[in-house]
Amino acid sequence: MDRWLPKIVIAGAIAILIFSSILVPRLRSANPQDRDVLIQVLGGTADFAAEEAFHEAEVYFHAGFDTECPDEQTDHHVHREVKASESVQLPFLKAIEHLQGEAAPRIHKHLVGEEEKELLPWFIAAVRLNPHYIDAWRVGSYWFYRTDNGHRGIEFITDGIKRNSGDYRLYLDRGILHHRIKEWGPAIEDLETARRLWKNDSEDSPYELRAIGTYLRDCRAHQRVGS
Amino acid sequence: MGSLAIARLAIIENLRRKEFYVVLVLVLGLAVWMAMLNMGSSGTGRFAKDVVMQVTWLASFALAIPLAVRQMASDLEHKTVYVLASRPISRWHYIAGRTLGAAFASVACFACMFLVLVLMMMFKGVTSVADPGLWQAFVLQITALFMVCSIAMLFSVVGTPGAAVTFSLLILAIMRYGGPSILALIAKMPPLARILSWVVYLTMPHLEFFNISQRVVHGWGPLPLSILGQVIVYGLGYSFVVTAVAAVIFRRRWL
Amino acid sequence: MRMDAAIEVRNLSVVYRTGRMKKKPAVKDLSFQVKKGEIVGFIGPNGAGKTSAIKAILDFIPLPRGTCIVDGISSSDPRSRQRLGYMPEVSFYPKYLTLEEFLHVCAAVSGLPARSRQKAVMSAAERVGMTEHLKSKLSTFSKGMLQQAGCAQALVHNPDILILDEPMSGLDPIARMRMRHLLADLRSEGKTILFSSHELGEIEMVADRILLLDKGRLIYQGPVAEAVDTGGNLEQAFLRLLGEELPWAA
Repeated sequence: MDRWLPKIVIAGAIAILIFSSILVPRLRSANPQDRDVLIQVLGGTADFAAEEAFHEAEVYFHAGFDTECPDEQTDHHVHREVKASESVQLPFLKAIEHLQGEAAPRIHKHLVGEEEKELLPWFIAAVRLNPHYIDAWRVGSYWFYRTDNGHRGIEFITDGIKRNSGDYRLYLDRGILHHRIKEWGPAIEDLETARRLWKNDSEDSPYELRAIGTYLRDCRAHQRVGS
Repeated sequence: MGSLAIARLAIIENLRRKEFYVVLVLVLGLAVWMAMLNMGSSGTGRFAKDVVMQVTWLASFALAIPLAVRQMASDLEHKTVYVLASRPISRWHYIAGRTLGAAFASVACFACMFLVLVLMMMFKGVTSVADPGLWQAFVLQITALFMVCSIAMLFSVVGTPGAAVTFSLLILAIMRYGGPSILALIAKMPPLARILSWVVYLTMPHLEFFNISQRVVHGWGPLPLSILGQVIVYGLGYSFVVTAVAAVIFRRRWL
Repeated sequence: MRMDAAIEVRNLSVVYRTGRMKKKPAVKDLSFQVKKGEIVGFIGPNGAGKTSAIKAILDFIPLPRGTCIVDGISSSDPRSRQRLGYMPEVSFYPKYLTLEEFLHVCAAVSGLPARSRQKAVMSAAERVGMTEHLKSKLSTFSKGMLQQAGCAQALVHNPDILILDEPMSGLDPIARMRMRHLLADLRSEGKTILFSSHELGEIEMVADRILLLDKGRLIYQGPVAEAVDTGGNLEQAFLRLLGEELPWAA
């Protein structure tokens, strides 16, 4: 028995690992407000991991190229190749930089077509680790819409709304997705909810209020003409 | 011959311990989970490849460092060093043998985990066994394991086992994952601090050269052979120098 | 060095650092020789410096003051241990190995060619009566069995010089008798043996000469018979030479 006990324990651990990937989503859907038990145990680390997962999605979009350049002079939103730091003049340091560049991709490119689906697991991971990570729900829903279909994106962000029912931004984005797939009625509903819940709590808030208004007018116009 | 015999001793000892098998089973479990992972319409190929690869790489380091540190610590604590040191071998042969043994044992563990990784990726259809980038990553990780074992051995000669493991892990984490950023940070320092920092930076092990997992995951293709050769020569040379330094320090140690 | 001396120690001093400015001398200006083919008992009270002297001979303590010459070569040269076998006092050996594997490693590290190792391993195991335990892991051995394994590893490469630290420790009477016979056999083969022990009775039976250390200094060296010449036994001679008188000493 002593010889077999460790093996039984290890086999049990593997079985739990495999079946948890099947069982946990089902359990979670029954209590959408709750985080996984494991995530609760991780605490603040889970939030950090969620941010890293979200960042990884961006890295994946750029095919492994980390756009957060160490040189703060380079705006990472601008598509620019990383150039060697101008202050590094010594040959052996240039050699080190060269070898570092060979090991990790440094040429800027994007995933295209079916490859874009590779981003999605990171959004799923981000929101699972932190269900209150609003940006992950928003950006993830866009990519689900873009790579699969609008309904998949809506399904994704609806999950986010269940966990963050007071956040106007999620209703706004769901409304926009409905608008894109020409579902005017649901779009208007979501946009009106967004306007009702809107708070002037960030730099983007006034622009988002304007966006709510713009989309609402557009949806109503389409609804009136029946297109 | 003495060093190889001591290395063989280290390999047998370490492969008979349970830690390796526990880690292998956990990696196997993770690989099975990733292979079965289905997130609806989302692609999970790169994701699975990336996660299992990172876990495999990290697990191999996590096994290698305590394994290397334990060589010396166990020998000195239990006085089993006397049996070897009383033979016609120099302290250099002893250190080299212990380091080689730790490295070979770590490589054996890593090879098993790598096999699991390859099988998982083939099952997912995200790689071919003929992918040269994958095998380059394998070879580079083996070289990195040699470096890490030699560093851990050096720290175990100069400090306690706990300190040796801690500092080895610290250096691994900083250089492997922060190596490229450090150069830019140093460039912003005042001149004197910059020079001193460059000296320290150059002597640190550049483990970031050996991490081409992103190339493999995102299909950037294999490294040019000249670069591969340079990096391997650097890794093995660094390991040799660090082991030699450890041997010089150990020479003066009272057993 | 005299040509018939297997081990020669001259003016050896070993000083341990016990604190920042504190030193403790373990061996003071020690000089002695062990001739080829003789068995010398190394005796003394606890802390006399026996183990420190042995460590210096084996180069476990690098660069001590004085010189140690083994088999005509300075002890700091690994070649001095080519024909030397050492049995440590503390019998800890790699517990994950079997006895056979352990002896194979010892033979390999000692420089024995691969083709002769198996024979050497079998011969060493046979000499110490451990043939039936060759396939057993060292972790399953009792203290006495570990002592015998230690003796086997010291003999596996057929050395000419043996340094045994407390070889009788932990052995049952039968094993002690076997060890005494082994030592006698080794002497008849012309081996040189320096062994340290607290078992004065065993030393009296086996050794040709004794070296008595106390507080790091050599108090007495000479034939065993001479030491016990005034009657009694070696234990009484030991106490007399150290100037100790105990109420229960006869």
